[in-house]
Amino acid sequence: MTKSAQQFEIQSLDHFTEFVYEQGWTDGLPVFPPTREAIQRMVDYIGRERGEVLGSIYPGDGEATIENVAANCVMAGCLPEYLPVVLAAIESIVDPDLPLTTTQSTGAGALCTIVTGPVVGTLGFRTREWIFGPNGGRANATIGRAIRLILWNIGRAHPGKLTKGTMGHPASWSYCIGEEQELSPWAPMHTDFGIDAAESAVTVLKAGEHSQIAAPLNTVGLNECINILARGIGRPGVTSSGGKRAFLFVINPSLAQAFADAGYSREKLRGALAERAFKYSYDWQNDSKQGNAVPVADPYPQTPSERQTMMAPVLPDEVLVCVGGGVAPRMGQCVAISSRSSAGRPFLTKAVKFPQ
Amino acid sequence: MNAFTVVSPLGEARSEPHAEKKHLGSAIGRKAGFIWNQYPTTKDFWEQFENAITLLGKPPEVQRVYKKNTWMPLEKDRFIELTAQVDYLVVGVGA
Repeated sequence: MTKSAQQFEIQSLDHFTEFVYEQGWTDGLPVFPPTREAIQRMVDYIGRERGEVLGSIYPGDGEATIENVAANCVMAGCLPEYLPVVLAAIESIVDPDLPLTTTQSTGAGALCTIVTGPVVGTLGFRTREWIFGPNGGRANATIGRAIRLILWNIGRAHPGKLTKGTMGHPASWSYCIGEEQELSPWAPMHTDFGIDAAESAVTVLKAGEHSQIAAPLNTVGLNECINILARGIGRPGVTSSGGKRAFLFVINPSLAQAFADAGYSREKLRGALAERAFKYSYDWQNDSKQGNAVPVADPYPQTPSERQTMMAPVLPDEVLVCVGGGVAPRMGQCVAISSRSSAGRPFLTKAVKFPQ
Repeated sequence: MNAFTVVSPLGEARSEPHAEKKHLGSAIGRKAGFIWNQYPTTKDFWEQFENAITLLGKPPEVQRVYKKNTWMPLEKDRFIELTAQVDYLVVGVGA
């Protein structure tokens, strides 16, 4: 099935800028013109039919096609070589196993995209200092930006209309990282999900809280660092609803190497973090969802809640570990991202399909 | 810069064909159906709501489909099957 998009004659670049805002084609930031020629370069690069339907995107059920995905990539400033990575993310976004309802309901989560494997180096992702940006990396910024524009223009995720998120998420403008591989002691993160290390992959995570956690390796030692990281997630409110959860730990290469030197594989580290972490929830909606949750004392006794507080263990398969960020010898730094998902899978990983 | 042509980045909304509308007239004495997603905070309400409707409407038959999740629509085949069995449906979904 093929579809072709509407086309517009534009008199000048100045006119285009105003046209874009009038048409509602942008979430607020300026964009590049999605010219026929630029889109054709993208389509030619991947060698697929421009009208090929990829699926529909929530909440507006807009049909994603190669052409309109490429148009949004052009608007974001992507190079044609970035399109296979964006398409791998789209494969997750249109997958019913990753319902986007929870990113666009009152909680207002963001989609965090993690690119792993050889493509990270090939496309020049900035994976060290300021990995979460801004860092001047075109791949990081524009792939994340393309995904946002796709949700906006194809999914019609317009706040106050189809999207009812109360607060929004500042990372939503562009939320994409590449995993640091050269300095990582472990295989790419996607090997945890059955994809070969030699392949490249994209993980899309429904993200809520984004926490910076300092793990002072030089003063407290490695064992205590695990406690610090593990206790950095799962507070009441942040993980307020039940269902399948996920917690992504992006740890800097120095800390990852320290763990590896102490005999931690990534699998062992995921297990250790899960074992020492808890997720808390008030009982207002957890009844049948929290699995093994048990009541605990109110963690804020000075201002007691009228609600019962529940605590549930974190499971190893709810923990993701990825390496990235700047090198800081003997100083561990981490970003922990808690999924904001009470429905379906909190993340999906898909292999990148490159043109033949 | 000279004039140029841009291509719309918008996605066309996928639409399903609408069924023919049927006017029920009165709901009294008609076969009723309930679809509910079992959202925990609606548990007490929904029980009382169903009781109130069946008390008022006196349906000769009642069909119930309680979904096992709060986020996916009821399977299309099951929905069509249900609509064939009842005169009207009361749907309680959302979160």
